[in-house]
This record gives sequence, C-alpha cells and structure tokens, in this order.
Amino acid sequence: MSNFTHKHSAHCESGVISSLLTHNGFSMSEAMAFGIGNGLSFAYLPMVKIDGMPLVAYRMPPRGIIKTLTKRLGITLDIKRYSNPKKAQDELINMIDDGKIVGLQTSVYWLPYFPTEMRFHFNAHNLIVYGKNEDSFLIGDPVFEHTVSASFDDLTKARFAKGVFAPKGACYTIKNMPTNIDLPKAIKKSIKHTTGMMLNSFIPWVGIRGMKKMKKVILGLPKQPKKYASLYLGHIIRMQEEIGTGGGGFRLMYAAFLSEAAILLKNEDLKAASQMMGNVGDAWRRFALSASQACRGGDYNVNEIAATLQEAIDLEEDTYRFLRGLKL
Amino acid sequence: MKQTEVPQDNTDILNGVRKALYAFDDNGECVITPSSGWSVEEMATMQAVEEFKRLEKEAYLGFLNKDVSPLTVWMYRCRMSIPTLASCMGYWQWKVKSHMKYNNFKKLKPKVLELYSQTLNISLEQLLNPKECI
Repeated sequence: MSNFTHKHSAHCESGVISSLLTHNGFSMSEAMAFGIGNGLSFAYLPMVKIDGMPLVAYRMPPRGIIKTLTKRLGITLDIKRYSNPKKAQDELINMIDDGKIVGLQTSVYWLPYFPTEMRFHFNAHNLIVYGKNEDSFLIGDPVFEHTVSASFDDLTKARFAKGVFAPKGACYTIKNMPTNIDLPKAIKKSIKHTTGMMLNSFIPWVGIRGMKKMKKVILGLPKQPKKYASLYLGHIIRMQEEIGTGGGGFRLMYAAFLSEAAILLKNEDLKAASQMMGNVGDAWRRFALSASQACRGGDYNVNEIAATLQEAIDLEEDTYRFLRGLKL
Repeated sequence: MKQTEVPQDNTDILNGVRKALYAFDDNGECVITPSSGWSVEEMATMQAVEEFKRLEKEAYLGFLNKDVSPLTVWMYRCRMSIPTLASCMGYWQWKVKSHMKYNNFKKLKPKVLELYSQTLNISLEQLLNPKECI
C-alpha cells in the first residue's frame, strides 16, 4: 500500500488533484490548484433545471479544474472509463496492488460514509482510493477531515450511478509530469483568464452579468407564490454553502490562492487583492444569511436581500478590476 | 472571515463531520479551518430534505388510495425528481410520469420493474410494497 497523506480540503476536485500532484512529488496546495485550474466562476442558468430550480454555480463545471490545471502545467493524466462495473473494480484493485493512488469520479448519493442528510444525486464528486482491505477500499475523500472506507460493492455502485454527469466508472492517475513547471507563468495566465471571464463574459448568464440577472429574479420573487419564493432562496443558499459547492467559500479559497501567488511572484498588490477577495467571500455569506431569514418563513423584505447581493456583486467586480489593472 | 468567525454550530446534517473552510489567521494568511457547520446551511439543506419527505408522504397517501404507484413513493424516498429518475433509467420523462400512475404501473413487465428496483437499489418486494415513511 502506498504511503498516502490525506489532506482536508474545501472542494473535492481541487482537493483530489492537489493531493495527486503532491503524492507524485510536486507539492501543491488546494488553493493553488483551484486558482490555476480557473475554478472560480459564476453562472446563473435558468434554462437548466435541478429539481425544478435554476442552476446556480459559483465555480466552473465539473472536471473543469482538473482539465485546465493539467493543461496549463503540461501534466498528462491517464483517464479510464468503463462500461463493465466488474472490470472497473478489478482494474482498480490491480492499480492499488501496484501501489498507485487513484482519483475517481463518483456519485454522492451512494457513498455510505456521507451523512444521510447530505446525500443528494450529484454525480461529479471526486475522491482518492489509496488502499484496500479484504472487502473494502480505503478512501481519502478530500471534503472529509479523516480518511474513510467503503465496501467494494458500495464504491462500484457510486462509480456507476446514472444520470446527469454519469461518471461511467471514470478513474485517473498521473501518467507524466514535466520536470520543469513554470508556476509563476501559469499563475499569471490563470488570473488573467478568470478576471476576463468574470468581467467581460459575452454570455449574459456568466460572471458579473449572471449575478445581476440573479438579482433581478430575486427582486421579482414577491410576484411568485410564497412557497416557491422560499424554496428558491433556499436553493440558492444550498448551491452556495453546501459541501463542495460553496459560493462564499470559493471566494475565500481564491483569496488563499492570491496570497500564495503574492509570495511566489513577490507582488504586494496581490496580497491586497487577497484581502479584497476575502471581503467578497464575507459579503456572499452575509447574503446567504439575509436570504435564510426569508426562507425561515414569515415576512421578508426582498429589497434588503437584493441589497446584500448587490453589495457582494460590487465588491467582487471591484476586485476583478483591481486584479486586471495589476502589472503581473 | 477571521478564523474566530468560522461558524461552529454543530449542525445535525454534518453529523459530527467537520468541513474545511478558508479563513484568515492572525498573520493575515488565508488557511483551512475545520467547521462543525453553519445553521444557515443547515436550514437550507433541511428545507430540501423536508420537501422530499413531504412529497413522499403525499405520494404514500395517493398509493393507499390506489391513485399513485409505489414507484412514486420510492422516487421521492430516494430523493429523486422525475428528470433525475428518467435520466437514471434512460427513459423520456413522460414515460416515467406514466409509470407514476397506479394503474399503469400495475401493467409493467417484470423486466422494467427489475430495472427500476436496480436503479433505486431496492428489492422487487420493497418496490411493490413501500412501507410508510419513518
């Protein structure tokens, strides 16, 4: 069995890829992986429904971080998908016997170690298998503080869940690492990319423009039935705060990335930007708090909620403009 | 958010699990800080869970009246909606919708029933006789 060090992370995808890289000799923090992988984003897609509610995402679509990060650093992954669950399980066992650690895409709902109330049908969770017992896999799930385990059957069921983002048994290992990785260059490129996308998206549902669209819908909530308004606001909070989706949390993780970048690039302005991004995260959390008072029932003032959202939007926009003005 | 401001509300939904949040320490560095949960998040998650429970209860009453199929009860019990179940089964939504009616469900072939029970990870026996929710 490989000597794997588990790291507690805020997000599954950035957590898994940073652990894989660190295990393969290139030490990288989760925040750095998140930043270079362009994890930060915002999208409000009313035409895509989740249980009848519009999709709200505070980050790039699943697999985006891993794809961008590996491309930017010149790392090649060995990604496998299967149609036969039995074969997938056997090959995983073989890889573990070879001493490899393996990243997997799974559903959340079928993982037995998740707290019951947190189990929803989300198929793009990521975790690492680092060993096995007689009939169970040893798992480093980045959003858990300690390592966990799942029986062969349970994990295979989670790997072959069907539906949106069906994992199809996807598993990945690191195939090739370049000897010289130019981290500063990758950082500069990713900051430019993220600020550009958030400020000048030509798709109206993405970035700052998407946030403004969401605000407009919130202002129109009093015209909707009370039950719907309450569920709608609850849905936004869940998308923002539940494990692995965090809105405010992702802004704070990006703040951690910027402060690491400030040290690497020896740039004091990035440190200031990190503080600004931290304030953005706090503003999103204040928005969640004010929206939650509304869905606890009773009367609520929609203008107040929209005002806290506007505050978050303004702070975030300022931060990107500041970042874009920097000479990196 | 400072480390001291990280919510530690010991929420039931996390059931003792701690999640990682980023917060600023005294030196102004943003670092991972374990949190035992935030009541705001708990409220939103519980709202979604309760909504599924309410739908399940409603479906169960419909099942007792021979109006709604047991499949509907299980769909909500497994926290699925029609689009989710349809995409898991590889069916069109109208097909799942028609299977939600008691009489249509009764006419289903054993093969289809087995597929449903596999998708929901329950036995055929359980699928046909949903017990009242807890």
